[in-house]
Amino acid sequence: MSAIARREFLKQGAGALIVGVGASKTGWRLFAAVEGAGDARPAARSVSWDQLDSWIAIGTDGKVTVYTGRVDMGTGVRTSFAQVIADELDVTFQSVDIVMGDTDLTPDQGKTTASNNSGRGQQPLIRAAAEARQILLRMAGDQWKIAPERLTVQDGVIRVQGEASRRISYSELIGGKRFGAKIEAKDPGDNWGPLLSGSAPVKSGNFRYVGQSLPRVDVAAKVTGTFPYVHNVRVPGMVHGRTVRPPAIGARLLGVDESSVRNVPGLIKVVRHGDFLGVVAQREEQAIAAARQLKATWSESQQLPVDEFEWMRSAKPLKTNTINTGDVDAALARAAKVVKATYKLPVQNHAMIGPSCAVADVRDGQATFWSGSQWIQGNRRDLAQMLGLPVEKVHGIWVEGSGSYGRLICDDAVADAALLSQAVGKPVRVQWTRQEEHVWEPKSPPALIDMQAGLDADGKVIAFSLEGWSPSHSTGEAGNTLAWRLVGTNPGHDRLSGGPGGHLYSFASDRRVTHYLPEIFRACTLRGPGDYQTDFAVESFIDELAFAAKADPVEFRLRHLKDADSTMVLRALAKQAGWQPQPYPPKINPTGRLVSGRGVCHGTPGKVAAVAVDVEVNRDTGKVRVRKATIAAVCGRIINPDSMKHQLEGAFLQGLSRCLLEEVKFDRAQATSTNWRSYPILTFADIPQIETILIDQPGVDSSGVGEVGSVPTGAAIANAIFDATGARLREIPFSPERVKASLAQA
Amino acid sequence: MTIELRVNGRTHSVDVDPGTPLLYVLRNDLELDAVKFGCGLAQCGACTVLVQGQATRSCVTAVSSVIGKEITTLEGLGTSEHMHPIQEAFRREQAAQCGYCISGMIMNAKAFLDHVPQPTEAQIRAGLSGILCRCGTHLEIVRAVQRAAGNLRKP
Repeated sequence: MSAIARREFLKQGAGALIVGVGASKTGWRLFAAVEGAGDARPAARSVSWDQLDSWIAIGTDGKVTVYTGRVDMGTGVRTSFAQVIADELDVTFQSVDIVMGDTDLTPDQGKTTASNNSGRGQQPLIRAAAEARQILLRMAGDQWKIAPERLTVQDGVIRVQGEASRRISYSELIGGKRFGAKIEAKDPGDNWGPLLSGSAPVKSGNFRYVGQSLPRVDVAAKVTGTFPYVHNVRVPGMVHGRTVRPPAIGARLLGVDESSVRNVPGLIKVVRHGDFLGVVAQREEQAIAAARQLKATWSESQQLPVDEFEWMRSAKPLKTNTINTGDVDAALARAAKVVKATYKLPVQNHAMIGPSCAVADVRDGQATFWSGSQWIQGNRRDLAQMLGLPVEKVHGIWVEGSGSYGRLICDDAVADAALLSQAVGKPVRVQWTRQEEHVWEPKSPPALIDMQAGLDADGKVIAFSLEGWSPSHSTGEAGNTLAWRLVGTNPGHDRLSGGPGGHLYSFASDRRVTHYLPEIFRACTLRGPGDYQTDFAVESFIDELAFAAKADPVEFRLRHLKDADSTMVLRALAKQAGWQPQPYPPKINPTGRLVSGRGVCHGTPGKVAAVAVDVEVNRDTGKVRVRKATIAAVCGRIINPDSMKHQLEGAFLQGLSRCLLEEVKFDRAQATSTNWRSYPILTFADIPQIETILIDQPGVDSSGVGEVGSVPTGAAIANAIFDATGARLREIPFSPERVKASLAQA
Repeated sequence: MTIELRVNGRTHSVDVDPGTPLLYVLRNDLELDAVKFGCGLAQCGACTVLVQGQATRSCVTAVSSVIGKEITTLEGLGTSEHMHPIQEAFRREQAAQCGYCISGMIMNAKAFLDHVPQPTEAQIRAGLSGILCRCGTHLEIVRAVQRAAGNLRKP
């Protein structure tokens, strides 16, 4: 790709990338500015939440630049943010640039997690755009001595209603200058950044771009190989690092034999910091060779449980949360029928296709790092503390990486790169090996969930009880990069998240007990953390209750749902999927080799989607194949229907992969699922047809759909397997062996 | 040692150990960054390039084994201004989310369509089965290859 083509890409309108600019013969030189923007934008900026200039700037060329701490993890928000902002300001989509995740340039908006870019992450951007528009209208009104209410805007040009002659553009009013306006910012303190407020009206209809399936601004570059991923970052003088990990979780580094790598060409240094061990070499393949060849002795460690589910039931919880409505025990005592079941979910990986990768330059009392982190500010604070630098001396630049689904809420590679860079005084690039990613990525922890319910004589649930055990999904979050833990100076973790819990049903008595257990593996939230686990148990169990009540599974759910969105989504799904209501005996066909069935599943609070699947089960092999899936989802006002559809499909397929195939195996020392053979994921052969039903709520603020399609997958498939065979799968994944064992018991 | 490579129609001279995987030479010496490291084990396909028109996993291919052979990377297929019909089809179908696998997907699709110009959907799925995607873009990718097959057939 020629340097010119690279430049051209970077100049393309909305979403032009802020990093990886400046192509040269030696590759990408990275700096935090948009090439070609020249002096169009005001130079001195703030990143304070309460300054309008921190969020938005209008150039002399009419370009609107919006600065956001939120980042695009491959979901398409770079495009949808631009759609929303263009509409709020009445400018063209093409005139909007989005600058993402640069700690020197963008306000701190916390974590890009929980599928809330299109909700919480977008709110300040909409508010800032609305305030900017109001100020610009006031400026024009003052100039013309006309009330702002008589003014209209189109494509960034202000006109007086009914007067063709008077017009003035945004850039003529403020191009290259600062707004100098304050904006009210409130910090809810949840690490998702501020909420802004102001007096300007915010649009709720008559959109030009919102609701349109605009093509994503990044796809053309991705399919031509010109997209600047973090893996492509190349800075002058950069060398390559690799790490050497302990053979077991908790193993201590006893000794390093540096002579074992003396013959490796290009080797610069062996770096040791506590139990952190790494190598730096001139070339990437040299660093890989040195890391492979380096001899180190480690202490023995056997700290993982033999059986995680037995361990969970017996371990002492760190904390137990109980939510209780009504008297569950009394209702169970008088129930006509009591049903009990236990559900199990394994340890799973995010399994990024591109292993963790980052570049860090730690020299002269300061640090710059390039990272695909979902929380660049969190990584920045961690690096500063780990390196002993003031936080303002650390500059983090986000560059899009591989899709990470929660894994990069804490970028481990950047901490490795920083320690290695500090040791050699040069910028260091680190990319993890496949084995390192599979074994050491912070995982989705296991869950064990006991369900119990009582039905009255009419088949109505009168008692509902959930008791769940799970380690926190956040122990690998901020303050806990692997490198920092190995160095031994990290502050530890106390955030508890992802425990089994909520559902959308209304029961007369309802008890939820959540036990948070100590860490087994370092953990980070994986797409729908906690919800994925809870929904498998709740929605499988609701199906078991429908069967016990001899009811149709959809009708049985509607019987107990009061939430309006949930009811609407489930009804829309049943209609589109051609669901034929019938009392629920499974269609058991003991003679057929291939049997088919249908299952339905609903989401969890805040994750309102419903899924129906048609499966085929091979009774001889135990192989489950999903033939067709229908997904209905509601997320308020739809910004980009095509993007929403892709998110729902992608989330569903990831959820499907998790429940059919994925389980991290481990021995007492560490994970033994080390690559794509021992931890396989879904491939093209097993991709079903998918139909999506996008329910638009034009009057409701948008929310994200990155997780909603994943959450209701496990139970939908388990329920369909039951419908086909009468066998009830209560443990994920539904491996052929497990399905066969379950068939034998059915 | 100095090695001469034919990549995207041009001859390049690089000074590397002959056992170096082609992947690192393409990325680090020739700065052809489309090709990606995914596993180093020939399991995921993110590093797929064409060698003499055959889809080849560059992470396990020693650079010395491709001397004198014609190597094509995604950059050699087409540009943003002049996309190859397969790239254009991927763009039209919006067949990328994070896109980390897409270079390998497209190169694999190129080799596949050269071999099977009028594939059925099942053939496409089988043809791409060795390339992993974690974002769940499979359906768009299959449609893109179908579209590309149609476009390539047009005169």
